[in-house]
Amino acid sequence: MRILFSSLLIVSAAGLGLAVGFALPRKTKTASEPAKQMAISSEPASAPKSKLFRGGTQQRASVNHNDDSPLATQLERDLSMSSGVTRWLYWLEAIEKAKPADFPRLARLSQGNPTATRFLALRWVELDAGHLFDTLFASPREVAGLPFNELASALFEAWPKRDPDAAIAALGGTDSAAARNWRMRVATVMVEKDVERGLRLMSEWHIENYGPRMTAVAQWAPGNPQHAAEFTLRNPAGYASQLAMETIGKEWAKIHPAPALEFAANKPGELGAALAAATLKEWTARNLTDAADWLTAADTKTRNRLSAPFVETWAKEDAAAALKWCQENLAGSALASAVGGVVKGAAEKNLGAAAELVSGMNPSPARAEAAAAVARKWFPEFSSDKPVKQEAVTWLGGLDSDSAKRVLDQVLWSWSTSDPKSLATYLAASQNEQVPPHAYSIVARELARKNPSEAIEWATKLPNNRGLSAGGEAFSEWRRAQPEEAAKWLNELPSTDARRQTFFESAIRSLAYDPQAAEQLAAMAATDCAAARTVIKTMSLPEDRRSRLLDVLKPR
Amino acid sequence: MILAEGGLVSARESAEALKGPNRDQALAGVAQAWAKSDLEGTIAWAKALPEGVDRDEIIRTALIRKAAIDPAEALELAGIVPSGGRHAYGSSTTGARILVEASKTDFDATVAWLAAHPGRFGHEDLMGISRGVTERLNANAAEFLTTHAANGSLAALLPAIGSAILNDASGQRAPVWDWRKTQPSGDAVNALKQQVLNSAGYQDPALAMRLVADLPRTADGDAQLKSLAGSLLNGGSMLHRFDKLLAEAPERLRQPLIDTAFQHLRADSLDDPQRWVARLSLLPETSRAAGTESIARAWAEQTPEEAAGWVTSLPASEGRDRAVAAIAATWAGKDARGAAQWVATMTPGTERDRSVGSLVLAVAEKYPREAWDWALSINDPSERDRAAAHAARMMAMRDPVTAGQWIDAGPFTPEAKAHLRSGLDRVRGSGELRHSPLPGR
Repeated sequence: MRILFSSLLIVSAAGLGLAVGFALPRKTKTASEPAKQMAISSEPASAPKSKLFRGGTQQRASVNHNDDSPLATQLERDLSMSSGVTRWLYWLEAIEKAKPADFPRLARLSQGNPTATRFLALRWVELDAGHLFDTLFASPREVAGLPFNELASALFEAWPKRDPDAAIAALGGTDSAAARNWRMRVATVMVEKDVERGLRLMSEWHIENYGPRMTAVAQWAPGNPQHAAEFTLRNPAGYASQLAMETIGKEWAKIHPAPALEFAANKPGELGAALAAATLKEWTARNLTDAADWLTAADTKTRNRLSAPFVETWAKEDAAAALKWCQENLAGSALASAVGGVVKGAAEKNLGAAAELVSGMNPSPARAEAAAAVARKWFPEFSSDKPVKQEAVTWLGGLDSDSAKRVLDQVLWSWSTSDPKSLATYLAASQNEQVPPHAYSIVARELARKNPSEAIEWATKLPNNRGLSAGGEAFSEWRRAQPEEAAKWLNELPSTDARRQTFFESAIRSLAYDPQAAEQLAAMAATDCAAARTVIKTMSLPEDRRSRLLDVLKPR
Repeated sequence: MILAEGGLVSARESAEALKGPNRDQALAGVAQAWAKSDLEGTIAWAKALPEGVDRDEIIRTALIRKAAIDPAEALELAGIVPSGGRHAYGSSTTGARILVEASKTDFDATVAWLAAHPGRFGHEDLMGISRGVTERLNANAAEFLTTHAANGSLAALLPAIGSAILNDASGQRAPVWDWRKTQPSGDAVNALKQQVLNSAGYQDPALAMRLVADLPRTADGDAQLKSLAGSLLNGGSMLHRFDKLLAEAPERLRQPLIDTAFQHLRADSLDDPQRWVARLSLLPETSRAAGTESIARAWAEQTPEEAAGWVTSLPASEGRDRAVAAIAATWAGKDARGAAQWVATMTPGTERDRSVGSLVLAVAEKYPREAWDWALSINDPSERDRAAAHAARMMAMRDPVTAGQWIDAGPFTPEAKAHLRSGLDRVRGSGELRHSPLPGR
């Protein structure tokens, strides 16, 4: 028995070693040796029982005459009677012995055990990646019970490295939409392995909202930056191309900045602009004088187009000098845009000083751009939980109406979600007739999410039309979450209160877009139906939808 | 929560005695543990907590916990607290958080409850069942949809289906599309069709192109085609796809795609104005004026001086007039002074009249006096009356007496004066000009 147990341990440990081998890169093979020893020495004393007991259990188990994988059947039994490290040893043994046809059932067994799934997926890819691909994407019914995402993830990480042609052909030739969704993964791997092929795939497969790592692009570009730029232009792929152009620009600027800019200046469009901006920024950071000379000597159109990134970089070192250069060399919208660039650069280094710089400027389009640049840096981003700093609000209050409007255009959404209370306070106190009307609606809704009464109270303090409209938005939000309370509040308003009608109409307009609008309207009191009909009639809705909603509101 | 499960009373006392930032967390832990056995008591206790505690959030925590045991009871009570959460933050509202737990516990019962209580949860809330919907769509989309269409719960599932097919069930667009072809038309089925078209257009243009063949050759089908074109270009943010999409588009989609591209031109999507000028020839003759105007507006948002330079090179036409007016309006919105200087250089005629009209509309709120003077310089009577009426209304908001005097002294017919005056009657308010003046005409 002792001999038998030792044999099992050796086999199992070998399996563990093999599995670790699948999971780790080849060069780390020697690292699996200690793992083997650890596995042997950590085997619990109870392990022999499970091996011996297995035979007895097998005899008791019902016989599956149509067993498509005796290996999986065996493993299932083994796992049901074991625990801890022993279970792992059984797993590894099965994975080691498995043929492609065994893997679907093994994978189903591995549900909820991501490590086992990963081990078996890597082994499956090694044995027959095409079989795994077919299993995952041939028929939705066959996928039932499989840890689909884990298997697909392992497949598309390993397969393009092992056999890129096969992986690309499989994904490119499939009708399966599920498979097409994994193209991004394969293209990403390919960008790392073979930049041109990866970028071409991203373009051919319309992968446009994803930015892969640019490490490989940075190594590829210096060899022949013009070819790299031309290749990227020929294979546009949205955000990835944008990042690639920026990377190429940086690398090209390190070698031959002037030819890079001459090339970029003749390439209109987003990618040409990205290349030019990245090149000029890098050159300016490395050699301000040469970059300035080149730009000053450029034709007006090129100078206008490229001044903003140039002075943005310069302003990080010397904002005053960069600003002076703008005033001497630019005019009109190019001046405004470049001044925005100066302040953006200055704000990177010293936000307070940049804000002061803006405060000291005369009202103008340039100041509005500069104010927007400061605001982007100073106000919280969309996902932030941080409150807006009071100094920022005070600074905003000191700006002219055009600049303040430009700032609000930039930060309204993020401000309203990160710190609606301070935005509400600002709007209530603002005398700026340029505040966009939707600002009041947005903040009213955000306030109502937390405290509807407070939101409505805030709206009542706004000038008449704005107050009614913002209050209506707050009420709609309230009615959606707490219909009874909201309706009770509305019904208790005096009949002369203008909010009764306006808020009701606002709620109906909001409700009309709900997927269950018809059911809700049908449940309304008869007295409200006529008023709701009037509102729905005036709304811009698809005709069939409007008819359906009006239909349920017909007098009963 | 672990402490609370051990001894509720002492845990509650400890949590209530806490000070500082961990207090709400501790109180929430108590609420979670307590809610399992006595939700009503937990809510009453939470409502009585002192000022400074986020009582609504404590109640939410209790409801979410209850949803894991008794989804229906938690769902019934979801409306006792405001919606909470943040705009566009997935599953952050009260309803969504309760639905996440409820659907994990008993998906079918949760959906049945939603169908029986229309409108109790809004679009954002219903995202809470997205995970369950995704799993079921991936397992068997047709079976899932058939079941819920039959029991009347499909409408309640629509927001979650829309999210699922944009995310982890994006592979199910084609099966969902095929399924809806077998169904009679209706609100939910139509909405589902639109969801597939929108998401395929955005994420899977190849599939979107194939779906075109299934769109009926009716007014509805044409509207769906336009909508699909909008999704393929993602409302204009993916105009860089245009050439490639046009090359791959089936014949029926080509024109809607071209029209939509021009309609969606904006400063940030107009990568190369000259390329769009060249594409004007793709538009039918009747749409070229509008296309020229679109280019002009987008270009003027970027660099109005360049746009102005281009438009003066165009031959006299409706398109040129509209483009000039669009540049004037856009430029005035960014830089009223620069726009006024440009308009001042124009020779009299339709183009100038339209441009001045645009300038007046753009600047009158801020510079009513200058806008009035500009309006009076328009030769075309109807264009002049329209611009003057706007300037007078803006002035009347600040100084109704002056606005009235302007109208009396203006070069208008008695009928036009009466019309202008009637416009002022609707305006109330007063104020002073606070801006430095614009250059004159």
